[in-house]
Amino acid sequence: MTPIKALFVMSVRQSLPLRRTVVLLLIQLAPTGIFLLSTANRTTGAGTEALVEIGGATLFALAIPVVSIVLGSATLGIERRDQTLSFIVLRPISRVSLAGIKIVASIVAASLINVVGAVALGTAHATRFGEPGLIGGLVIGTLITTAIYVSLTVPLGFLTDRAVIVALAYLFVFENGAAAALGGLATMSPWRIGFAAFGATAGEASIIVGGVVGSLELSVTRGLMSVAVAFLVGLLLTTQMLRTRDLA
Amino acid sequence: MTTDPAFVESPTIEVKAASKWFGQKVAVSRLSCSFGPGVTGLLGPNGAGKTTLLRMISGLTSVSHGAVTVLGRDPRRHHDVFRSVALVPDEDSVYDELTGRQLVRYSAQLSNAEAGMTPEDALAFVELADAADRLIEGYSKGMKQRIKVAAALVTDPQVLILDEPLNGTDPIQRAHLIGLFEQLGEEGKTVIVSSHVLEEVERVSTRVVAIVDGRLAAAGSVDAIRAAMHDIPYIVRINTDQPRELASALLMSPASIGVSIDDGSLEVTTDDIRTLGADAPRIARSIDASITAFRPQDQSLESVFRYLVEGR
Repeated sequence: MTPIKALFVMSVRQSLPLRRTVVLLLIQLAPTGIFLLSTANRTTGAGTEALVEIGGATLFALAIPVVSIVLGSATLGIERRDQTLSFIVLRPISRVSLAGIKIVASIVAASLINVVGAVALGTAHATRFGEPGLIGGLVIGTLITTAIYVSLTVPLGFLTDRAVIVALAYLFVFENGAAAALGGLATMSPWRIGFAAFGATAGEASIIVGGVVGSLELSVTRGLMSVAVAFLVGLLLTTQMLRTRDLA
Repeated sequence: MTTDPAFVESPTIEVKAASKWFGQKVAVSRLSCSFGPGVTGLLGPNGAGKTTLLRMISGLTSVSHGAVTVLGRDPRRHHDVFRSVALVPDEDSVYDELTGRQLVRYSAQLSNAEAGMTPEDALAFVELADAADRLIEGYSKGMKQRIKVAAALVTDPQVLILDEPLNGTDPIQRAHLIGLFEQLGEEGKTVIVSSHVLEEVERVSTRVVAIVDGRLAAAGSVDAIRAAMHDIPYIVRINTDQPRELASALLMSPASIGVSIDDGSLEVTTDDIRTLGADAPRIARSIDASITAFRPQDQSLESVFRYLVEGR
């Protein structure tokens, strides 16, 4: 096994110990539970609206960010806290490769959890209302949202022990507070970017999604571009910190 | 040919007037020395700056001033150096969720090691083959030390840096590890073993670099370090029933540099504690005084090294 593959496999494994995986899966399945409870008495025609406004909003604005923030912050944060950084940095692996592998591994780990939530929600909607066409869009939006949050929280987790608190404060105060009130700030909200990508694939439901994401254009391409930018920012910041900070 | 014992003929590691400070605290201060093939003991009391120096050498910590090169390159800039360098840190910094075997294999994979020991050989060498499939979280301190050594050995390092590797090991394990370090040194590898215990370093290596307060205190052979320690003045407290008379008589002994009376006891400064130990009872008998206690004061390694630093 090559050093890069070994580091990737170990990083994914480190991200998902059993207990944490179970807790994060429960968080991810909460939107589906809420959706099912809230639509118990709904008629067939209101299913898509409920999916977007209740299940989708809960999934994108809460569950995916929380899981992504926790796993993104942990990937280098735990190595730093447990003083195992020397084990991986004193290797013939460049700092940029190290940072890139850590971010990609964390995106993969978070995606494994988050996609379960998206598929569960889409499946619940399809089963209850007979509209299976939204699962793919939910997964695309989930992957975009996950990648942005993780890319930005990996360097944050390396920088401070309070990365989760800082990122959650951003989520609740800025994204779910200020950006909700001022639609122009939506471009700074990763979950809205992912939700907009979902909206671009959602057919008739896109109108409802458009009302949630404010000034954002409903576009998968734009979402992918945001992922690329976030990944590059995360990569540069993480690489720079690995190069310049004292690592022990 | 170098005559300063702080430097070696063919260095693999060079520390050039290196300093490291954390805010207001100076951890290493303008320290210059070098390390070459063979085992070198890095000696100093706790808090002397040993770990900081080893972290600078391994590139984990930046150098505030001066320079450190390993195999001719700056370890902070050239990660290729780590094809040939391995660090065994002092902390219990191992992945507790892995088994010993998984950790050693992971280490070999990360370094793409092909020439070093196989993971199985390394585990057998540190006598952890039987515990290799147990989670590391259940290991004792000594077992963790040994699994870290095994994880370093599989990378076939040319330079092996060990920070207090004998901590927590029992005497048998200690003897085994010391034998291993000696063998690696004889194979031409550069091995640095840090410790705060002189006797431990003495068993591991013939060459010692001693630091205290982040400064070079002494360097050279263990014998030279010991000789330097013997040459320093000691203070000996002597309890006697006739302090004034004994003080006067002891001043005539060539082993005493100075004598003072403090609260009925004598404080004798000497640069030859063995001669004083032989002279004092004889002198006491000659004046009909009796000695009830003879206690050397202030003999900690730290105080000895601090004296050596001030004398340099």
